[in-house]
Amino acid sequence: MRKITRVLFASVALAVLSIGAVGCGTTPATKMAQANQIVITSVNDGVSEMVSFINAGRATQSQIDTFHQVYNAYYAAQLSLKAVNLKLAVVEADPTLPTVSQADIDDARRAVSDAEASLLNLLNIYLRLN
Amino acid sequence: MEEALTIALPLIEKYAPQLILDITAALQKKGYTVAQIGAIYAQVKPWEQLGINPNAPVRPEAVEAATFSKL
Repeated sequence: MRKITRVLFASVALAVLSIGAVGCGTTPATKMAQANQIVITSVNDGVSEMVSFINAGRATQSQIDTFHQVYNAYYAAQLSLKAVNLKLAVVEADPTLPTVSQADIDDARRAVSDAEASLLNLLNIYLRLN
Repeated sequence: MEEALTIALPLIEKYAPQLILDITAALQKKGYTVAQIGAIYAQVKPWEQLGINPNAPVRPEAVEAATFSKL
């Protein structure tokens, strides 16, 4: 449990850094998606631990409900960033298509960052206290 | 969290409906990029696919309160 707590704490910091980081992809859209990879991996690790926690019967119903709500917000945020990334990739392939505004890119990144931070903070609380 | 939803949902509505057509066009010209992005985001599972057992027992909410009241 201590290991996962350390992972979760570290992942919050890493996630903040990775949102603005640039990977080694071939296009801006791919690079942006790859930069988000570390967020996805970190969150998946924490979520996997929480799923085990729930399936072991150690979570209360209110904890499960809150986790469900926060996870859905995270999933929606990732879906929006995926949509923006795919749209960027499409525009790169065909510049005649309408592009994605920088404001929308920033909004999608911010939504993922906020939702990811909320989710990891929640998992930190549940997994550390129980 | 609510702020994240407020930001995310309009973006999904704005970009998702056209995505199928756009992705088809992109796949014809530069499919590997879209495939790479798709593979990355395929790791983000919807709630229903997280593997939570709906029949798993839950810890009673009242246990902690009862414990504290005894103390």
